[in-house]
Amino acid sequence: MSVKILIPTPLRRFVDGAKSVEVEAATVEAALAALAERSADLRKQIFDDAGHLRNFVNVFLGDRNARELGASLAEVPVRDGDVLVLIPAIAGGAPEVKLSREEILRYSRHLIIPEVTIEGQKRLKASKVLCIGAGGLGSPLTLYLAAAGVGRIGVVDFDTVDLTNIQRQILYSTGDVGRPKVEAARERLEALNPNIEIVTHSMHLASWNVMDLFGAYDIIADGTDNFPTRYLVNDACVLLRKPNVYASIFRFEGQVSVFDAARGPCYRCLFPEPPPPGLSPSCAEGGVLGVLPGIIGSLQALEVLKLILGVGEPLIGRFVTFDGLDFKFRELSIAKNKECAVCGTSPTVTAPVDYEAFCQVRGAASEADLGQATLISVEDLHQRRDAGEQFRLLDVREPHERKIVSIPDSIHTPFDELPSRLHEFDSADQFVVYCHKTGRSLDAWRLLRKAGFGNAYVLSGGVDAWAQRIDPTLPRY
Amino acid sequence: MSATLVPLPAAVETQLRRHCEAEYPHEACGALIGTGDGENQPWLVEEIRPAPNAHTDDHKRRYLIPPDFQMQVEKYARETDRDVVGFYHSHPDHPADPSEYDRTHAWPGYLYLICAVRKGVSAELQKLAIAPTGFFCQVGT
Repeated sequence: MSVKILIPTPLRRFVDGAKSVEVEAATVEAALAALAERSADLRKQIFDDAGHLRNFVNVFLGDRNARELGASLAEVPVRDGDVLVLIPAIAGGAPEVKLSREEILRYSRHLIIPEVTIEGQKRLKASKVLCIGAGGLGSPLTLYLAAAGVGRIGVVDFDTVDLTNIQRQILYSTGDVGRPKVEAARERLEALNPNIEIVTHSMHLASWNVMDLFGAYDIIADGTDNFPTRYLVNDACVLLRKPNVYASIFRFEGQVSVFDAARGPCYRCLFPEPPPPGLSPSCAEGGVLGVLPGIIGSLQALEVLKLILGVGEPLIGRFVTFDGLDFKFRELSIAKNKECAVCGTSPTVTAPVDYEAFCQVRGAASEADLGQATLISVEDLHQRRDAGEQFRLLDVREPHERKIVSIPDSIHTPFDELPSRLHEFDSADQFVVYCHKTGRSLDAWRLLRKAGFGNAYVLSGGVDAWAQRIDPTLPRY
Repeated sequence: MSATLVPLPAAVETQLRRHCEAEYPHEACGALIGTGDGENQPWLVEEIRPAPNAHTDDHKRRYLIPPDFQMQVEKYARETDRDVVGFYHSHPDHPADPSEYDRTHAWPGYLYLICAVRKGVSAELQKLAIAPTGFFCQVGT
């Protein structure tokens, strides 16, 4: 049978530049063998030692791949006038992750551990971790991930460094006060490990940007301090099928877990709803021992590294709490909730939602919805006092706060005691309520108004504003 | 080695870059249709044909052009009196330098274009061919 074989560009050099060659053969294999006769180099190029067509060369009979037409090319017949086309297989790709000599020395203490080795270190270098929050938890987390050689670390934080942060946020120095956190963080982390990439995201995480942002990372580590963000992060991780390494802190206690909806429960399985607003104060109100986030954030980094390396038992389905005062770790076993709104069998959340609404947050209380009339500025208060106006100034903070600083001539009634002490006051009197800033005083005001105290005001900005604007000799905290 | 090519026509280069950006973060790949052989006659790339990525490994790091697709492109080139002169692919978030994997899978005689794409934006474009030594060399104009 007279068969024409079309020669691809890279093989033409072996047949004197011919674009096609005519041969006599009865099968595809015989046709190729006849072709190989023309040139020893060609034979070496396209046939292996056993005389079979190498697998990086395809041969098409008409439009069909000849290998699909029979058990072997020897069993595929050809007819007069058939056309065979040789198609070289084309493949390629990006370079492997490589470690420089400096990196090998830098990570030597990793490389000699059987659970890491050079393969694990390369995996660390190839991984991308997004750290939400560069604060108390984010500090040890990012520092340890950078030290370990995680190739790309994304840092999400919209804040600037404040003096009150440095008691626990050891990523920063005193000289960083006033700088955007992500900038100071990047500088510190790059100095620690110049071989990795730090990506800064100075932004508020929101429903409309979370999916795109998370998509570029492999693992998300949640170190935030508010409920709307926790639910937002959780839901996005479930929807994108990415693990969420979770941690939280309060005073002397901390919590850690890994929420990976593909293998176990998510945050919503454990907490389908957030607590009522006001029940869980932020650090500014509740306080935290500085070293506590150091411990918990480091545990968070540990879980991230274990996930990347694929070693040990990650905290999936396990919720660990640590009490620093009695030095006890407690572990709760948590199960996937089949009715979970986002990771259950019939999810109702299929895209990020309005988390502020979900958490009913409008600040612990919103100044806006109370109306102007009930607020009084520190300047106003100062003026009225100087003018001799009569009113009771009520300090509703905790005793230990009062010891730090207070506005002169104020009565102390801690917020929790207020309901039982209302009878001490005359509801006809004028009252001005203050706390550290504004949160608790607004709640106290509501209480007074409900109890019939018609002449109650809230000192906007509290003792903090007084110390800033009226008497700067007073300390702020 | 003195392989040469005619500078890429602007429209061709734009189309190539757009395709590489569109596939990010995965590797884009495709065929180059034109004339020349690099040595006796400089390559002239007249058209590109974006290809699906048939690699069974991670598409962010590997590409494979399906043989059926290639067959069609060869046929089209032949019918329009031209050749498949080479192939292009992208390196997402990597420099456009060829890898060892690229080298061991490359054919002498083809023009290889590698386009770096960083965070979705195309960057440097390298023009390469396999020299008699078996290693890649730059193709000049």
